[in-house]
Parts: sequence; C-alpha cells; structure tokens
Amino acid sequence: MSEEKSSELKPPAGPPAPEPPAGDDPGTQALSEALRSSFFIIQIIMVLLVVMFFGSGFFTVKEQYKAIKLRMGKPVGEGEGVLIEPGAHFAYPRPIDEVTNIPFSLVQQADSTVGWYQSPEDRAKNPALQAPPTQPLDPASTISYMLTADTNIIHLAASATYRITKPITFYFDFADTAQFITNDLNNALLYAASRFTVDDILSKQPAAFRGMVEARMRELVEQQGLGITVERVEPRSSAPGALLSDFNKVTQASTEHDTILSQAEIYRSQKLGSARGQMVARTNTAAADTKRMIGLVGAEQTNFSRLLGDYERNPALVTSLLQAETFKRVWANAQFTSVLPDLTNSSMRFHLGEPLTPLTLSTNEPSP
Amino acid sequence: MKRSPLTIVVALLLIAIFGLMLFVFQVRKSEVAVVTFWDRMELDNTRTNPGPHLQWPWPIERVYKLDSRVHSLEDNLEQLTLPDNTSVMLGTYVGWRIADPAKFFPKFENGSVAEAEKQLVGIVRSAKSEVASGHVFSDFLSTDQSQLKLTQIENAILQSARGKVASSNYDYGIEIRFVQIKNIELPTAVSQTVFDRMKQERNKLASAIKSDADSRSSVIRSDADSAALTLLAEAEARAKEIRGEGQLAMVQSLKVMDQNPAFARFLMDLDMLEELSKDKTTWILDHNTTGLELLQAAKPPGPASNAAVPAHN
Repeated sequence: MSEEKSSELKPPAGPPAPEPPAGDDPGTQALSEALRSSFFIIQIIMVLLVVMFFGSGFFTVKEQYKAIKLRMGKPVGEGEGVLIEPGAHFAYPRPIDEVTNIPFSLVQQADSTVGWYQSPEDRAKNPALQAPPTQPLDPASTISYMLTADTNIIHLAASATYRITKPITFYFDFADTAQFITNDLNNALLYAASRFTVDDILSKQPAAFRGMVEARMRELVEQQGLGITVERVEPRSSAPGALLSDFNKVTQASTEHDTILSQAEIYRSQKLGSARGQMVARTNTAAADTKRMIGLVGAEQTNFSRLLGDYERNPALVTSLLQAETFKRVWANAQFTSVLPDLTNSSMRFHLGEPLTPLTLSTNEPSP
Repeated sequence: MKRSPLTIVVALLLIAIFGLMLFVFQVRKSEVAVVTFWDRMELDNTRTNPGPHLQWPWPIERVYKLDSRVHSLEDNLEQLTLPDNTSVMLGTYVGWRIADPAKFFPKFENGSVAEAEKQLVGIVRSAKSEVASGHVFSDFLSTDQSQLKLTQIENAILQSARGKVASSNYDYGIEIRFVQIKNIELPTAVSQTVFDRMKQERNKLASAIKSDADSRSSVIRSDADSAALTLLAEAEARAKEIRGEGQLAMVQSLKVMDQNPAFARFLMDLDMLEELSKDKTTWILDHNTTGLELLQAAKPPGPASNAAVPAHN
C-alpha cells in the first residue's frame, strides 16, 4: 500500500517508471502499465508542443505589404534587405523574432483636424458638404476655422494621400507618424491660407492654393523625414456660415459681371461683323457701279461711232428717227399716258389726286 | 537511471529559456533601456543599441525601457497679445525625443513620457509667448509675402525651446526636433468684429463688381460703335475712290465723242430718258410732242417739239 502511494506521488514528467518486479501483484502491474502509457502520451505532447513552437514561426506577407523582422529587437538585414517581400517566410517565435507587417504600396489617407466646422469623424461619416453653422466662432468650440492673408475667416480642410516609402523610418523613428502627418497637413493649410486672400482660395485661385498646400506638405514631410511620399493633397474650403449669403451676393455679382461682359462682347462682335459686312457691300457696290458705268459708256461710244456718219449726213432725220424709236419704247413701257389739249392760249393746272380728263391717247393700265 | 535523450533536450531547452529570461533582455530598435542596480542608477547604465543585452536577474538589476522615437506633442490654443495690441490664439505641435536616457530617466517617474510632456508643454508655451512678443500680426498673415514671417516664427520658437531644454533648469535629456504652428485663431470678440468687417467688405465688393461690369460693358460697346463707324467711313471712302477711278476711266473713254459733242449729248439724253421711264412712269404729253402731230390739224412739217414731261409715280 505504501508502495502504491509512493508511485502515485511521482511526477508525470519524471524518469521512466521502473520495471515492476517479477511476481508483483496484478494491481501494481496495472498501475505501472498505466504510468508508462501516461508518460508516453506526455512525451508525444511535448514533441507536439516543440513542433508547434517552431511551426508557429511560419508567416506570410500579403501583396501590397512588406515586413520587417526584428531578432532580439534588432532588424535582420541591412538597408533595403531589411524588407521582407510578399510570400511565405519563417521567423523564430517571440520573443526571439518579431515580425511587423507594413502596408508598403497601399495608398493611405490623412485628414486635417483644424480649420473645418466638422470633426474629421463627422466628415468621414457625411462626405457630402454640409452647410457651415451660422453661430459665432468660439476658439473653445469644436467649430474650427483659419485666417487668410487678408485677415478674413474661412473654413478649410484637406485630405492627403500618401505611401510609406521608408518603412524603418516610418515605424521605428516616430512614435505616431500618422499624427505628424495630420499635423503637417494642418500646418500646410495654415501656411497657404496665410498667403492667399479669401477670394483667391474660394474662387479666384483655388488651384494655386491647392498647389501651395501640397508643396508645403511635401516640404514638411521631407524636413521631418517621416518616411512617406505624399501623392496628393486635396483641400476644400467654405465661407463662414454667418456670411454665406454675403459671399453668395459676391458670387452672384461675379456671375452677372461675366454675363454683362459677355453680352458686351457679343454686341461688339455683332456690331463689327455688321460693319465689316456693310463695308464689303459698299465697296462691292461701288465697284459694280463703276464697272457697269464703264460698260455703258463703252456701249455709248460704240453707238456714237456707228451713227456719227449718218448723223453728219442728215442730222434732222437721224435725230427724229432715234427720238421716235426711243419714244416708242418709252411709251410702250409707260403705265399711263395722257395727251393734253392745245394750251397755246390758256394755262394748265394740275390737281393732284384728281384724274386727268383730257384726250387720252392710250393706257397700258388694265381695265378696271 | 536511464534517461531518454528527448527528455534531456527538452530539459536543457527549458533551462536555456529560463536562463535567457533571467539574464538577457532585448532592446528593440525603437527603444533605449535604462538598467538600475539595486534600484540605483550607475554609470554606463543605458543600452541604446538594439539587440540582446545581459543583466543580473531582478531584483539585482531592473530594466526600464523607454521609447526613443520622436513623439508628437500638441498644446492647446493659447491667447497671445502681440506688440501691435492684437490678440491671437496660437496652437503648436512639437516633435521631440529622448536624447539622453541617463538624464531623462531620473527626472521622471519610471521614465514616464506623459510626465515629460507636461514639462515640455510649459517650455513650449513659454517659448511661444517669448517669440510672439517680438512679432506683429502682419508677420503671421499678410497679402504681402515679403512681410510674412511664419516660418521664421516657427524657427524662433524651436530655437527658444531648444535653448530652454539645454539650460541647466530644464536639463531633461530631451531633444526638440521641430516646432510647427498648427492653427491660428482669434478670440471670440475679435472674430465677431472680423465677421462684421467681412460683411461690409462683401457688400462693397458686390457693388464694385457690378459697377465694374457696367463700366467695362459701356467701354466695350462704345468702342464697338466707334470701330463700326470707322469701318463704315473707310468703306465709304473706298467706295468713292473706286467710283472716282471709274469716272476717270469713263471720261477718258468719252474722248471719242469729242468729234460731235451735240450728237453725243443727244444720244445720252435718249438713254437717260429710257432709263428714267423704266419703272411705272406716267407721261403727260402735249399735242406738239414728236410723233403726236398727227393728232392735230395738218400743219406744214417743222422742227419737233420736245414737250414730253415724264413724271414718276
């Protein structure tokens, strides 16, 4: 019985159980057999644990990511060799090795946190531009704003997209790189706003403003060595809510300004076009008249030369002939012809509007 | 006593792990470690190189790990009065790191970064006030870029803060890497004044834009009228010139008619008469008109009368 107790107290992971002495009772033999099998199971478990321990070191790096392996806290490799490419890799389990996955080629985004009337969280929830509040601006409130070069108040926000290009710097030199990026974006907005007027930002030079915000952002990131490359900065702006109607008045006036100038330009274009048309018409008419006149004179000259000989021989006859010939044509074309009575010894009065009553030779008017 | 080799290996492994845990600690790349001996700082008690380092087991030596990366610290908006009696609210952010763990650790409980930042906020605030007192409002915001000194102000705050942390009063083993302004705002009362001014400016601007449009439109229209008149005058002159050239050519070609001007005149009169009577002409003739003599009693033939009077309707 005491032997049984001592066997029970043996630790399970201890040395192999001794062979039971021959001739032991069956109970002792059974216990001994049970211990042996238990110890075998423990051995298998231990082997499995060791296998799992080393097997847990396999890891994969996803596409768009790279990884850095720290062995006892120190990066494995030198320079670019520190970065582990996508695929399957092995690392010793912690605390020997530690693997950090880095979204290397993923484009990431940072949002400014000052200058706008909504918090970045609210902005993310409602991406559509909400109207700014009309209440007075209090620096203690969550409604933030910025000041422009002409000391006006404006709401400004910006989003920056960036990629991590120096992962070691990004992860091991800065405690919260994302916070620095956000604040650099805030500073870039402030820097650009201090150089642009409110109208430049809102309507006149938004592209130049965006360019300056982006340039300043890149400059800061470079100066501070954050290990990122800024892809793009997209600012947005809004007039203060309390002055929206006043800003709209200016916008409306600007639109009207453009319309009025556009109408004036149209007027100028039409006026000059018409004048040019008239100019061409007048000169063409003059040229045509001249040409026709010269043609007529030429014909007259030919006619004169042809008839001159006959005329010199018998002027009266030629004159009468020509006159009669002409009269025939003239009267044939006349609308109305009247022949007056002999007025040798009397006077003649015309009564305008009254029909002439004398002898009518002929009329070409159709009969009523 | 027979031992399985596997058991021995496992046992050695466990001993090795236990020994490593007791005698070795690792410093990550982003950390520095401070090792105390019986809780007392000794010379050469910092480990700044990443990798494994030896230690005596606790409680003989105790290892404190400090984050050696650059930390971000933001201060609240603080109202500052500038020399031109303008009040502004200035907020900054600072990038700082533990440069000397041996100096940093004894100053703050367990090397607490939060405690250090409390001190740092005061230093930056003091530097900010000091620098702002030397600048007027137009140094912060101006349409004239030559007047702007925003970057210089940031640098001045940085230098002032660096000077303070380097002085014996604040020798915390901290390095300030950069100071940037995060936002500039105005006190509530001032912002209301700015609103009022902006409102007036907007109204003035709207009126100015309208009157500018009207005046420029008038100029464009009158310029167009004037240019059109000029063009027409030029056209008239050119037409006259063309006609003159034609008349000259005509006169030259009439030289043939000098042989008998009376006959030439007669022919031209006939042409003119025919030309005149082309369109709806009413003729009032007397009986002496050539060709109408037949309408009266027979007379001896004589020169024809030319009493035809054409009249146009």
